[in-house]
Amino acid sequence: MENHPPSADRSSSPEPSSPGPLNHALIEKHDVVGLYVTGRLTPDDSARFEEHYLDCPECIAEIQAAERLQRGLSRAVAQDAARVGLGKMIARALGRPGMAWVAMAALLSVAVGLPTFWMQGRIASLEERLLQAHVDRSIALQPGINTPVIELSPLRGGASSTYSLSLPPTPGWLVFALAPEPMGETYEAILTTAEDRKIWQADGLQPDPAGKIHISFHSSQFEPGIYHLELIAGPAETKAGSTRYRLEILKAAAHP
Amino acid sequence: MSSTVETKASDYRRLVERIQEGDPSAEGELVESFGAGLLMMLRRLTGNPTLADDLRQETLAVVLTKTRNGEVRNPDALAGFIRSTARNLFLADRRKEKRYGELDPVTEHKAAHAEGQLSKLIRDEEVATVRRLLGELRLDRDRELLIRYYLGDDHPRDICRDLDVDPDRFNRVLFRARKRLRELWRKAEKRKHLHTSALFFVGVLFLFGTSATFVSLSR
Repeated sequence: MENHPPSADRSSSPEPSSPGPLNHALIEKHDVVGLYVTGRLTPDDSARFEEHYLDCPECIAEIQAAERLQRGLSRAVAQDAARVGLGKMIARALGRPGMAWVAMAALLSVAVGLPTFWMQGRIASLEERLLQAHVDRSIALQPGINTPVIELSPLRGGASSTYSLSLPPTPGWLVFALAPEPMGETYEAILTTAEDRKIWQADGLQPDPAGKIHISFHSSQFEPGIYHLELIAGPAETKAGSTRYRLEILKAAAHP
Repeated sequence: MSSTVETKASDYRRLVERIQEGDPSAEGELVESFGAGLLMMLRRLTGNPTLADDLRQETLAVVLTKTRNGEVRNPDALAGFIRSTARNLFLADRRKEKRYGELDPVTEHKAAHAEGQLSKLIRDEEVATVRRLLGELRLDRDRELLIRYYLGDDHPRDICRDLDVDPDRFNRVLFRARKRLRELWRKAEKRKHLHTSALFFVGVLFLFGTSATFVSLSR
């Protein structure tokens, strides 16, 4: 209040100028509440108003409203100023000589750099897969020697047969020679894990003149564990009968 | 006006007499009548709600003791006595507490209206309501008037001159703005209350339904 001229000087300002206690007509007429909240009342006028509102619920409510208005305005104006300030800062930065080019170059770098970065990752992944395919192919084209052939024969009475075999010390082919019951011209074979997860399936398998069906699996397809190989006779729609083989794949034996 | 003042003075006199006679309900009346205003004044003075509450309790205790002991020399000016007691306690507390720092009279006054600068206490709801109010004002001039008056240091006379506003209109704009704001806040409070009631009702219904299902299943 010391920042403002004394009451007598404020001829056009709305303020309580008459001495003595205040009443609501005077308070409203001179907006005493607003003057008080904004610190524009003189110390004497402040004292008079405080003595008045100490037991005046109406004025207390008015002061609360004025304080909330002041706080809300303060915050709203600060928010707007911050927004305008940020906008101006960007505009100012762009307005500097050469800054527009720098900004454009930065945008271009982001626009080009991000897809390039993604493409590089994708290319690296594809190259890795291609290399693996080459390795697999070269392994596949190697002549197989000492290829183990595992004879699988069904047990009489439909019981499930169990065969144990160790994985070879170096990855290679395993040939299963199945001798199914002569029930059909073609067969369907399904290889599943112990948890019944299908890992391979083929249709249209035909027995050779000796009545055997040969299936080759690469040893890298197997982890030690239990597998089931099921051979189903006949086309899929007829399904004349099936034979189930239980395979127990053991860890590779250590080199002697 | 004078009759109102006289009525108030005689009310104060009667209240002081009743307290001196040992009427406990009179002490309750004094606390009830002056407690909220005292807190408001002390909050503006200290800028610290907790400290203001402590000082209010202290003030009321001192005032009641002095009133009981007949130390209130002018019972007609009870409000002035309470105000002086509160300010003296505030000044005494400020002297012994370093938390106030060195305050000069100008700073003291600034502390009195420091709540406008306590941005930490500003709530989004207040901002939203104020924005709505500003949006409702038809004239840009009225918006500028409000902002300059509440946030600036300009003298009202200068604001009136710059914006070419009649001083009577100036007061009307300020008064209406506060009135409208209070309406908006009241409506917002009402909506909040309705929302809470609706949630409570749904919760009760849910509990009732669950209990009924449980009982019917257990039979």
